[in-house]
Amino acid sequence: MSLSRRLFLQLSFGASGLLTLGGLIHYLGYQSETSSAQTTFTLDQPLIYSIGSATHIAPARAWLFRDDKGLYAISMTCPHLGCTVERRESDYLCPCHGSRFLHTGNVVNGPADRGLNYFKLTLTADGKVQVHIDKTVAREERLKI
Amino acid sequence: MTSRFALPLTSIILALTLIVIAWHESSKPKAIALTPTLTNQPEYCLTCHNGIEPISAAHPTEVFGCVRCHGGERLALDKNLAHSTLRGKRNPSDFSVVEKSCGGSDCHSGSVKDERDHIARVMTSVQATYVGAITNVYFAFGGQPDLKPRYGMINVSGVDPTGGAIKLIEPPKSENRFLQKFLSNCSSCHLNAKPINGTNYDRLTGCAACHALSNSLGSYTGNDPMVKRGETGHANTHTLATAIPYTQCNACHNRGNYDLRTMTFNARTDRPINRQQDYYQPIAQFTQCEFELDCVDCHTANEVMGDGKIHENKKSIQYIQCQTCHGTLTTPPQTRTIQDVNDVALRQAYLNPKVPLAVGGVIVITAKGEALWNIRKVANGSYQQIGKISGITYDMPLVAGSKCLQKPDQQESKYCHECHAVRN
Repeated sequence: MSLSRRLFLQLSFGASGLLTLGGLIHYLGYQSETSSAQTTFTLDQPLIYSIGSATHIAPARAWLFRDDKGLYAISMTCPHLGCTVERRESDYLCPCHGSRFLHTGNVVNGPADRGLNYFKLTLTADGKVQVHIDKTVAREERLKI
Repeated sequence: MTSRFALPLTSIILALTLIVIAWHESSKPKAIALTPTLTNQPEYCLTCHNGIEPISAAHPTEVFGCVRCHGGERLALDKNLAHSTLRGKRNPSDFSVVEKSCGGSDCHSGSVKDERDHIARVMTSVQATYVGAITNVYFAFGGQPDLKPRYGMINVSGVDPTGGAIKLIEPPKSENRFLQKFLSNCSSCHLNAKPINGTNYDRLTGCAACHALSNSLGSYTGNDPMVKRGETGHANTHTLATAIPYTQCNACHNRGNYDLRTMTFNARTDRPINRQQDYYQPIAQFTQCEFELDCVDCHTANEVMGDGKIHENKKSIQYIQCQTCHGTLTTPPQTRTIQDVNDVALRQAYLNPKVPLAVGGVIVITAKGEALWNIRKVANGSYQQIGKISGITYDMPLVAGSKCLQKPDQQESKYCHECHAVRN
């Protein structure tokens, strides 16, 4: 197929114009980063976690535990101002202001005025554990295995 | 214009626009976003301030970010726009904005009972109000009829449970050149005043006057690429300290003297070369401990930061005596066993890891019951003091059983100096 000089020019200018327009629209349509942080984290199959185990889920700022009733997850976010507490042999310690919590999450000393949250756990369709850090549950609640 | 040129011309204009935009964008630094967990709102301050020191272990950058304390336009990448709503310019702890920056019931405007009312208390301190000097000078030079505290460098009311209050100082009603000169020349000696230019000591204002350590030039030596090196008016680094070394106290207490005859400030012109020369009031006498320890090793939080009551002068709030730590001829220092995990002494010790303290520990307390948490009774019954800044452990000599002929009613330092003064 022969292409006239006029048509070639029109096509090439049209294409470059469209590209430019696209770039401009992309620039003008820029959205700043939103605070849509991840709230659900998919872990392994539940049987991976043996009774008595404690597993650090760093991206979720949580620890996952299993006792004889099932699985549960405790938030590592200090309820005072939101620092990440450290799990120690006998307690959790907030490095920011020194709040301490028992391994159950109960507050030992302030400035935190309440204990650590427990996160909701569910199973995915293919049977993996999911921790939902935007949903808290009662301390007795367990994901039964 | 014919349609023949319309399309090419439009394309060229758009292409040029794109080139300009691309050039403009490439000249900007790559945006660095931070979403602090406390606010959960992205902010772009680190785009320019990348490398700046975290302010303190109690305020991690990933938790607090910058805007929670400093204010500012969190999404702006233009310097002027980003800084247009900063609180207190560089210093969010300036008293004019401190409540908004550092206050809040979970932060530094907490309960009196827990001693978390730092902001309210510091407003009553003589270092913030300057009430002692004002009261004495106003009384001495006819500005007020008695020594009752009336005026300060800030208004303070509704804090003191005993009803004490002071008004913002106002010029004398009648012509009084002494008081007028006092106001114009001698009012730079309180926490929220900027230091006089050209003196050998620099510091910030508000809480940062003590808690943001400065070098004598007021220059910044940290890693924020945006701060000009050699520029004055900065803390040494972008960090807060809870253990305040004597050098920071010297920023006010060793920079010179006021001359009441001329109502002028005579700045110290020499550059002290060692600690003894650097010490507060070079002509005075001091005991060994006054040279070796830091001010905060003996002076308590209430003395320095106020106790929530209006005091008429420094002497009224400064109540530590020699016997507080060294006991008397017949009694050892008062002590208290820490029994509660929420004991304020534990909290203060937590902020200064140089002093190991736990429930069951025995610490020295003042006559008012305030904890001297860095002075403790040890297993063999003796007493030890740990330098809050140096970490050095000192055995505390007691008066009882020593050659000291201390009289319980003679507790001012001058009486100790009679026997224990060392050469300057």
